[in-house]
Amino acid sequence: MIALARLLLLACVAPSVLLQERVRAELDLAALDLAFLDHERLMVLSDDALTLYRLAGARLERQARLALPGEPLAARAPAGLLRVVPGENACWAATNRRSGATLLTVDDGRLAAVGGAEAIPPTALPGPAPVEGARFQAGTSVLRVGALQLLRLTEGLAVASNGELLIAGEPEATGRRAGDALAAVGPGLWLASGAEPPSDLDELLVLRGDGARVLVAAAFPVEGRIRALAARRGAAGALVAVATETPRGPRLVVFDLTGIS
Amino acid sequence: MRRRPALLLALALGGPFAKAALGPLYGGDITVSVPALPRSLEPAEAEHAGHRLALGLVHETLVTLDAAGQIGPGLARVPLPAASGRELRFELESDARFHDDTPVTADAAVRSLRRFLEADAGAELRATLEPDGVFAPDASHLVLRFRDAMIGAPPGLASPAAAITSPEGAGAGPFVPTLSVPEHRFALTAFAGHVRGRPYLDGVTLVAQPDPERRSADVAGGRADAALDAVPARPFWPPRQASLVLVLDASQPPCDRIQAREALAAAAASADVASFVPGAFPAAPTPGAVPPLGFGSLTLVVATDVPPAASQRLAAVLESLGGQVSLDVRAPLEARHAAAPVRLVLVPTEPEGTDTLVPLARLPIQVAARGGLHGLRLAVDGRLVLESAWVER
Repeated sequence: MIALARLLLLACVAPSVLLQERVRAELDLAALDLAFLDHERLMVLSDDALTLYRLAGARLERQARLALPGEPLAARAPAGLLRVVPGENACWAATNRRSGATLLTVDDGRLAAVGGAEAIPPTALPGPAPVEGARFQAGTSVLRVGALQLLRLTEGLAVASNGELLIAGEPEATGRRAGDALAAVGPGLWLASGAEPPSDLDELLVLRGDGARVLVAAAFPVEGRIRALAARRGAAGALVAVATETPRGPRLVVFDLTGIS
Repeated sequence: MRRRPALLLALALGGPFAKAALGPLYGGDITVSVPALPRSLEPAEAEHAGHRLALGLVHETLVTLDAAGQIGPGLARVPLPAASGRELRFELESDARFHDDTPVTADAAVRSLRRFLEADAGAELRATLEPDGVFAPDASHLVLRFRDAMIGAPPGLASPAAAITSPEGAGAGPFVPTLSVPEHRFALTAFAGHVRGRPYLDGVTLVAQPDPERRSADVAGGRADAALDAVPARPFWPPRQASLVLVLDASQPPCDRIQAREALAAAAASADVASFVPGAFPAAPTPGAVPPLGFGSLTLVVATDVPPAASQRLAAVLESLGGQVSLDVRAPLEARHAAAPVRLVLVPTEPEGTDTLVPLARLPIQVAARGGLHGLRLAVDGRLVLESAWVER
């Protein structure tokens, strides 16, 4: 009941932030990361494959799937990173269960691997990034980006390996923590999963930047554990994709997020 | 387009709003208080819970047993039968390595298994194998050749006595021993090259504490993060004292006859299944004379978390007494509530209910753990598994 009260309180703080479900689908492979190519196409990264989906009204249509190249690697907790190359119909993909990083393109609804590297290059990473790029620390779900050890990174915000939020590489002023799913909605606006240990429910946090602090603008309970998030800003709000892990298998839900201007 | 406001859905969920979900974190060290520790960490048949735990941390076997007693991959994948079931062919994981960073080879596996077969612990498996029935056809495969057709891999291969070691004696388990004070304390650090990936924990320290009250106090006082066979107390992890129970539903034939229930109960008790389940001990009194089974065929519903050794032993005994038994394996909850006259289930506490319940064995599993310690798992033999444990920070 305390949490319910907190939810209501949050709703009072941000009465206009609303999340409306648009698409709900079961996934055959657990998602490690998500990325919108545009308002209709969504990339889903799993252990050793990348899948391209198309949002068709209230349905999710699978358009293409490509197995990631590279050698299989042992990693206890699966993790992955997708970085879209803006305006190029392309993205970099890396998981901790395949060696290296792969550049993939989408051409006429088909996926093709067109390049590879040992790590996701700095040009595909947000902000000033170290020349060695981003790679998974061997056998772990920890991303090594220069001296930083991260669980997730996006434009302007990252989650350190202990769950602490980092703004431009520095700890958030209040020590706020988040889960290991994170996505940028726009400048100073992010989505993150909850920071508590796994249980049957997770929460989707809408975070707003305030200098060196991050404020929770809204929080929504979500069934299952959030594994990955993606967002695409539109004129009236944003499209939000949430990949979850539930006792009945992996799920993907796409929402319309409004009231965030 | 159908739209559902997520907020309203959330409010309709009801119940407490439990949060999730920052998953397992790498890092941290834990201390586990155990009743006793061994003199050595050499592969051997475990003599007590602390021995089992220590060997499970340091060593890896060709195959493993999951919580339901099913064979799973270890240093090798689940083997494929060949030669009409008289051979099992194991493919070693290509990236499996020992603590000394040498690769796990088929030669090392053959040498380790031969050592196991020559010891008392391997006598049962040795009796089923042909002479020279362990060999490596190439560098990445190992073959066991049996006298008769086998169904699946023998569970004995998952015994710590059957652990695979390098020629220099290095293990391949999730933790590398760094400090050894025999019978008193072992310190271990995470093995980055473990076949299932680096453990989340940086390190584990095992400390011997013979007094159960003091083991419990160690956890309560923060001197240990978990304790085996401790006196349970909140907010510790609830004790696990699983009872293996045969449920006889008196509303359904043949169990609607008291003679049939008595016959089944006596036959089940005579099966002494506890002797066939590693780590279990009997829960039933010694049976008297076993009356003949007064029915032809019987379907035994078995929960998936019941060790197969138990259900197979029970079925064999019932058949030897004149019944025809077929097994119907179902999920634990489903098996417990199945509309079937005879069910074999594991229950977390001493059984209660209106059905006729025949306790067959108890699994002596009691673990106390502090809050914030996640991912502890209990193997089917009662071994505490720490390789995927992690601590909140």
